[in-house]
Amino acid sequence: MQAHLLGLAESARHIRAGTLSPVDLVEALLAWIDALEPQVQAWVTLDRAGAMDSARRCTAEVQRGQTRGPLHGIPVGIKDIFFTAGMRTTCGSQIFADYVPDHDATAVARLKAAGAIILGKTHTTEFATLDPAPTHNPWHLEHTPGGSSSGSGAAVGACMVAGALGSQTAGSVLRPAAYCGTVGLKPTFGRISRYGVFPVSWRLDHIGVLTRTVEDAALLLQVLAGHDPHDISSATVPVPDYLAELETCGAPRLGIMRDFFFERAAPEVRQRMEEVLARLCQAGAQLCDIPQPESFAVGYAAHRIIMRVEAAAVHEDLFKQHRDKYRPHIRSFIESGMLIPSVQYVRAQRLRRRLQREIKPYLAQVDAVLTPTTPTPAPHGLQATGDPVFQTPWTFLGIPALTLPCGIAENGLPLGLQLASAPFTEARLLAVARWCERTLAFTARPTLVSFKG
Amino acid sequence: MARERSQDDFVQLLQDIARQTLGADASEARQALLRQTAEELWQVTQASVQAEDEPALLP
Repeated sequence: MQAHLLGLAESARHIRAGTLSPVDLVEALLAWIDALEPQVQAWVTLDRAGAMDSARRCTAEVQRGQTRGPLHGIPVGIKDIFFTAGMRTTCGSQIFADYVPDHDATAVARLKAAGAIILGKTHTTEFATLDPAPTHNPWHLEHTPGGSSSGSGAAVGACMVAGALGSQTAGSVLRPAAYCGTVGLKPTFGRISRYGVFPVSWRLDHIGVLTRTVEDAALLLQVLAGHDPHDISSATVPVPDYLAELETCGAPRLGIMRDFFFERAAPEVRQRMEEVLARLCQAGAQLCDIPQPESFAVGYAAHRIIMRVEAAAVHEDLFKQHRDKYRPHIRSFIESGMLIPSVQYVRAQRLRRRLQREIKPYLAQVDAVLTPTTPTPAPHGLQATGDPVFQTPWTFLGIPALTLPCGIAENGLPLGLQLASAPFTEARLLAVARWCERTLAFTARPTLVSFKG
Repeated sequence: MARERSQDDFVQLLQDIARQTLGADASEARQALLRQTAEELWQVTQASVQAEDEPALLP
């Protein structure tokens, strides 16, 4: 058994059946990381000793017939803006280079309570914004892995870990997931607690997950979703059984929004998406064109205004003290946020509400809206993290969105298919994604992984 | 023409605020940043909202 290739749910089944021990799993992943990390650079901090201690404890518990939860003995990666008690949390910034929190983010605490082992912290762009992490794309080392959840995307894509936490303010979960050939899920705003996560923008920040299968994304969401009194924006909407509903979807009804997405996609991406649509249609999916709501195009500008202003507010004090320690892009971003008149900031918030109102009837007509996840495959170079234009609308609206790999571009890099649905319909979204995953049967892996494996 | 005038107004406004809050900086990077932000402000200003479109926390 090549333990590093197993998914979360698959590993959990083996551990429960006694055919894999948490110690063997952690050792296999650490050995795999040792082989690839010098090239990929996905990790800021690897907690080898802590992970092995936890693995030994979990193994002993299994031998006694005890398990803590659905992730018992399963290693996960944590984006380095989530606070981890006793483990360094740098936020990708030299200001926090030696910061060790005394408490866990709620999402981290929930993973631990479910039995997960925190393998380490994955690289993020500086404060989860624009200045890139040192991480490389495991599919092609000269290309960006995307950002800001760069390390989580690369680590999951390179099979260093089967699941990782990310966060998304514009496109920071779905874009690295698409660029690195993984599944990425950003649920509804408020579905997963943001307590203990360094903010970018209070109105736009979402917690998300990166995995290699839709089932694993459902498993992580099951563990992470739910109300948290520590987070003022946390939703009280009941959490359904995502795993139970995963296989309940017959051929779905999919809405295609051609105007905004297909027109902006590169010709190759457009062509591949048409091929994907044909395959889904052949398998029984009903496709219907959805017109672009009137305010859709201005959404990107409104999103940027909210993000700029709130990032400036988040960093107000820190920026005064440490301006010179901020890298150029985030520094400019914060400075621009300081200039925006308050009336325009509120207007941008009102445009968000308008767009939510306008898109609601369209979302009600379909199981999910389908688009390409990115306009191109991962761009060449590590100086930028790619274009968030296709992921931003769903973040701006606060509705759930998911990407899954659907093909390989001519340059050998993966392409993602993006699904979005109405607020708090993650169960349906995951079931649709599972149906698409089964239908498209994407099995490719980075050459780096296939060669070393 | 009207669009250009309006965007120029925003650039001017942002330059004024920038001078007062961030200090003098006539660099190309600063100017590019101001133009980009002005474009976003112009777009947002042109889009209409209705009375019911109040900012809300959850979708």
